[in-house]
Amino acid sequence: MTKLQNLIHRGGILLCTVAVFSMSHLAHAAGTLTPIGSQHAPMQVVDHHVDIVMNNGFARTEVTQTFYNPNHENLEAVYAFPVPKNASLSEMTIIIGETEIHGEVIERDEAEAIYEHEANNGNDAGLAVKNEYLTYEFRVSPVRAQDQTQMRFVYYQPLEIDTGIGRYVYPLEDGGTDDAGKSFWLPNEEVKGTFSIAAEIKSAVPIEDVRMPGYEQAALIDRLDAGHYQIRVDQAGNALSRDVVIYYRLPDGLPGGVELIPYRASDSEPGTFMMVVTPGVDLAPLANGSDYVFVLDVSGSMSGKIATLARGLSRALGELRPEDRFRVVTFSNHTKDLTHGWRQATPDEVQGAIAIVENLSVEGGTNLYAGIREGLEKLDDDRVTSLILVTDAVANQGIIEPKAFRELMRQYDVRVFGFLLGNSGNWPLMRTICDATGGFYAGVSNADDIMGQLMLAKSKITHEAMHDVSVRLKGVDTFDLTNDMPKKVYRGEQLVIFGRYDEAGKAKLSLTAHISGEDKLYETNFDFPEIATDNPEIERLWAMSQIEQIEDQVNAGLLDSTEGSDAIADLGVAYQLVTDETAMLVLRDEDFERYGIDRANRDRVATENQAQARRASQTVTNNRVDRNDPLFNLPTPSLGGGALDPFSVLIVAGGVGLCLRRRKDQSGDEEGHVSR
Amino acid sequence: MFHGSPIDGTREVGKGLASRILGSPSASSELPVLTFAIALLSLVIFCIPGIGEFLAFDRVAVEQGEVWRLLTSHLTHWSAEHLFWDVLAFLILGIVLERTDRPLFLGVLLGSGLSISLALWFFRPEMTGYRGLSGVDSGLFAAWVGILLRNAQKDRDRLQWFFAVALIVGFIGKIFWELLTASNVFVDSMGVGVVGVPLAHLVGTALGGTLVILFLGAAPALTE
Repeated sequence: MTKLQNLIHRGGILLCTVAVFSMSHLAHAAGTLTPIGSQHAPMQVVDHHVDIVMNNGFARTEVTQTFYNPNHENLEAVYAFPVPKNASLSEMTIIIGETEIHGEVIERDEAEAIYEHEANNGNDAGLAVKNEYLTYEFRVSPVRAQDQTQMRFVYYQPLEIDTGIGRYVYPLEDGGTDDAGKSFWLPNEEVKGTFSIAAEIKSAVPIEDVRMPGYEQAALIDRLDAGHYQIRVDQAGNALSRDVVIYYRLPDGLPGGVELIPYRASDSEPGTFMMVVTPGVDLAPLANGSDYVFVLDVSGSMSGKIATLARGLSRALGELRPEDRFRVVTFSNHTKDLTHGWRQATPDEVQGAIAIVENLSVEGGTNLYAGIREGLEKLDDDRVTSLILVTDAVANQGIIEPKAFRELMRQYDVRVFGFLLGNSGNWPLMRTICDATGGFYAGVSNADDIMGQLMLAKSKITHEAMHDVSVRLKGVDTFDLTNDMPKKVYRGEQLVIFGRYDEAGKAKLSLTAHISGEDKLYETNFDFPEIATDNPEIERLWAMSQIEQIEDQVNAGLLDSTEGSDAIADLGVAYQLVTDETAMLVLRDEDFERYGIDRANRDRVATENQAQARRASQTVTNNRVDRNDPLFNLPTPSLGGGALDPFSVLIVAGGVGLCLRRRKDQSGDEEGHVSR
Repeated sequence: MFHGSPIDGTREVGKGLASRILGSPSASSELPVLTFAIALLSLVIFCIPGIGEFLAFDRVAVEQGEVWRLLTSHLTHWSAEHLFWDVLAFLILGIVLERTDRPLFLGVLLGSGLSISLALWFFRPEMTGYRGLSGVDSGLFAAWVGILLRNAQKDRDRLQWFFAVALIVGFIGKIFWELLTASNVFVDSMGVGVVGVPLAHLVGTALGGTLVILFLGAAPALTE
């Protein structure tokens, strides 16, 4: 490379880097990003491989992709994808030829400054940052002219099981919430070569069924044994524009219970645990008529999701009972009461409302606060009211402070059910709104089975909840718990608690709840182990859960934002997680040494990889700890259906047809015989 | 040659299209109105929002006295695909059976509907909701195969006899496979939150088989 070329190359990278940093928080959804107006051809994604392992209550997602730089000069690759729910980004690796360079998490400002310096000097470097709830953004520099560079990243997230249905989402679709990013970046979602997914699901209880909506033809689903499935998808020339959703179904009628997934490397340091309580209690349907307020976001950012909204809402309205009442309120810049007050849910009124909903159009900004406030009008104290909020929660008009939302919600006695449509939605704000009323919230992807999701939600909305559910552990000193405050637990919902413990021993778990006007107490005993090294990833998940709790406290105005940011930065660095305050910096070993950066993540990843290799060779572990002393006596509730498969129906039809044909032939023979 | 000879005290089984299928010689122009009405009703219930909710099996609602749900739940469905396959099978089997023997058809319809719901009530206490016509379809199928077997025996038609035996053995085998593996073979139509209930198919088949034996036991022969 000549001096001039070198200068141009450095200048190009510098320009890109400056632009990238100045446009921080302005990223797009999955794909490589090129500044609009750039003279360079977009960085290409040659192939994109996703490896997913779901086991022991959490999922590990590893994404490996190859960039190709079609330009005649070295350039930086910028790649972004939507932040998955509750994800903790833990590894980033750049593979240059035979060499792998790995990432370490440090404070964000420092990471960005070092990356900028190294990239400007033409050294191999990478950076991963989190742009609030919008995107994870990866930068790799340089991708050499007309050459390829591979990048790999790993994140963990707790698994969600609702009413016996496990659901995993790998988000790729543009959430449409990042207007500023759209005006700056040109996304390239195309995968030139292979797009592949390899997923493995391991469960201690049998898995009845595995589904991948939208990939029915492409997915090869192998059942290795009752609780072990493998899925493989290989496609050429795909686009990174459709979410990957995987459902797996556990048997109905499984007993409720407690699972404990502990990690404790040695008896000289505290252990960490994830505890999952699956209630096995009988929650009665709301016997009398209820009121339902549907508060719908019809702002511009909902343009890609309005069809899903209309489809879901039409079915939801159809499920109301004649004794129920409903209102439909929409909001964008302004609010509209589409039903002009309460409507009795008679078939005629419901049909009228469905017709309105199916013709909704989107425009303008998002005045979420005004929408909710309008929805809270005209409440009837004598009736149970549920507010069903469907939005991406990216409030940008009127009042937008989370604290104000919390104060508004706390004034009313309503149950809020929040549905966050699409990716890059404002999870923290939705959490604040729903938590303030003890509500429930869930994400909905365009790739979801909307009918199935709706039925799960409906069973929560139309049944009583467990109130003031509180979990206490005695006998073992536990601390730094998350999600342990008294709360409502809805039908089919699990209670996931993270925490730490000081010493091994027998613990007594007491779960108290208020159900149908009665106070209930459920108890069981189980051991916290001295040493448990199978699941080191639990530490990162615990730290991420702590971080979310801190964010919620800041949002609710219960914690000073500076104090919150410091605490998040400390946790991010200590447990090597990419957060809003920390970033992952990828450098060569000697460069880390030069900057005096500890290799905490290298050590942590090595421990995790060893455990993963061990787990891969083991049979599935059953983490249920109350088998001998069950916490609940009733099984989890389920819904059933009498369904015939197409194969059986065709066999019946064929059988009838054959008999008909045979009798016709026989009749013909006999008639011929008689006539002769 | 026609099939079998009249036996004193027998009841006539088989007229029209079904009678040709099942071996009876005389065709009837009688329309299977009940079959069409029930299929149409299932469709209407699915299409009009709110009605299904009022008719589906709901354990607590039944406890509170809404006992009609024990029968009407079979006319409700979770999804369009669920409705399509259940009703298609019902139409095929209902046309055949109703035109063959309407009292038997009605008996299977009501008997399997009620017995399936009671079986769910007593043996699947965790099942809080249920919808679908496939249990009743199973009863109709068992009744049809029973008649097929009966006619094959009378006609000394080995091929038909083996065919009927293969059908019922295959069907019962499928149900037991579903029960043993706790899965519904190939079923993927009801949505992610709903589980298949092989018990409904087993009870429906058992009821259909029992009724056809009782009915044909009282009237063992097909008429000329």
